[in-house]
Amino acid sequence: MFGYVRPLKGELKVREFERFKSVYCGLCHEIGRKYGKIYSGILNYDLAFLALTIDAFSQEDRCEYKKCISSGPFRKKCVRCGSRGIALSADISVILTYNKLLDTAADEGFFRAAASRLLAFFMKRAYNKASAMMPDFRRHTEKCLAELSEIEKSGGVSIDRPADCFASIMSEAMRQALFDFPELARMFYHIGRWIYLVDAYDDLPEDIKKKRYNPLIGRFSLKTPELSDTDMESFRFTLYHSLAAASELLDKLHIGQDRTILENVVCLGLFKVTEDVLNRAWKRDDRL
Amino acid sequence: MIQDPYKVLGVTRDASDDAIKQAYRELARKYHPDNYTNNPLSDLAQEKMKEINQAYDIIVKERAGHAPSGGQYAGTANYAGIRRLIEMGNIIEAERQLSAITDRGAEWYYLYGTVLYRKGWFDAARQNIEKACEMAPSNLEYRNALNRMANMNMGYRTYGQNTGMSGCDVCSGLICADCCCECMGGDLIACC
Repeated sequence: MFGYVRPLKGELKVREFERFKSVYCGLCHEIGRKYGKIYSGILNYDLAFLALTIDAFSQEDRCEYKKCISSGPFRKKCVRCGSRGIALSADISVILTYNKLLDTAADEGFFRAAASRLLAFFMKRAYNKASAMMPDFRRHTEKCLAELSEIEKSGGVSIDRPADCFASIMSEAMRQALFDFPELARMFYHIGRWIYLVDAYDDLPEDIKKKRYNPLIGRFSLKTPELSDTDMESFRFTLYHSLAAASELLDKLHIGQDRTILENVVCLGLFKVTEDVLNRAWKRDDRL
Repeated sequence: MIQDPYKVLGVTRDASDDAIKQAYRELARKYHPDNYTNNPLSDLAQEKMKEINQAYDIIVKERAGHAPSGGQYAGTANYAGIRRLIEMGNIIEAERQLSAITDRGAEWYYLYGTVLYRKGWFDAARQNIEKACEMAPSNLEYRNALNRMANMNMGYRTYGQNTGMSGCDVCSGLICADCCCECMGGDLIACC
């Protein structure tokens, strides 16, 4: 589900790219510090983007140089520290990952489900700790995912309804973080909707093969993963409209720092990812 | 309970919706619990925050209630009232009233599409507005709504596809065009 939200690296200035990486490293460091280094694997660029957006409205700007396993024994990396965005994103990461594991345990075949259940068991303590920091967000996430589960069981032809459940989780994450910027919560609603739909298209061939729920199957009456030209046009239209709506909201905000990085992600990065996914050229594990 | 919600937010009774929203935001920023962690005044701030939220809710509900309520007109098409609800941002009530209407013509599909659009349900919104256009092909309001959606998409995609263009590229492109034009006896930009 995650990994789609990323900047278009080629259009970032070097200092902007370094800044984005420092937030990503900061998030890794914070998760390691709060929950244990073993959880650093739950990191993704989407939550780094969330942290960057929250911090765009603050004046905090502390960078420390720390050693990091991924940069070798002698080099130190610039790690963004102590910011509110990173602190909140770390908690949100744990809550979302734990719920994703439960979701996998419920939906997948025997071996993957068992592995997910085991990981969830070990993650329970971290989940409880994160939930204590953000109880409202946890409740909202569980409620939305339960609703999504009901929709998946009953099927239906709407793609908006299931997307709304996931979008609502992302929107709530932002609402909890920045209470007095409802436009940001709305922006994250549109981005969350886009993530859900892009992920649905990405998973379509496997879902059809394994006869799993996928909102596109009901909407476009699919027997194979190929959409007709008209259906592809409708789907492309709705994906781009969510991004256009997010971009319009971003335009109206008076952001302090990092405006150009956020614009890069929303206007260029997500555009590229959309085209790659729709052309089936997307590789999830591509590192920046 | 609050006596006068307008007094709590510090606005007059005839303040515009935007002024009310602005006043709410400023007070919310001032009394937000995050500003009072480890502060002896945190309890007072929490009470004040509750009061502000209550006052805002009362005013919003009161203003929405000035539109004729679907309760009196259940089953008949009260589209003027629904349009007012949409304008004021009361999408939930607008959707509820629309769902109660059984006789669904072009205007119903247009308004329902608009409500879905506001919710961010763009796929169903487009389908409904397209249906409205189909049922009333000469209606400019419905056609314009569809065109606006298409234009917004085009604007976003054009920006995404023109990567690498900057202000310098635009200016130098224009200067080159002006030079070429002058070579051929014309003058694209008079002052260059």
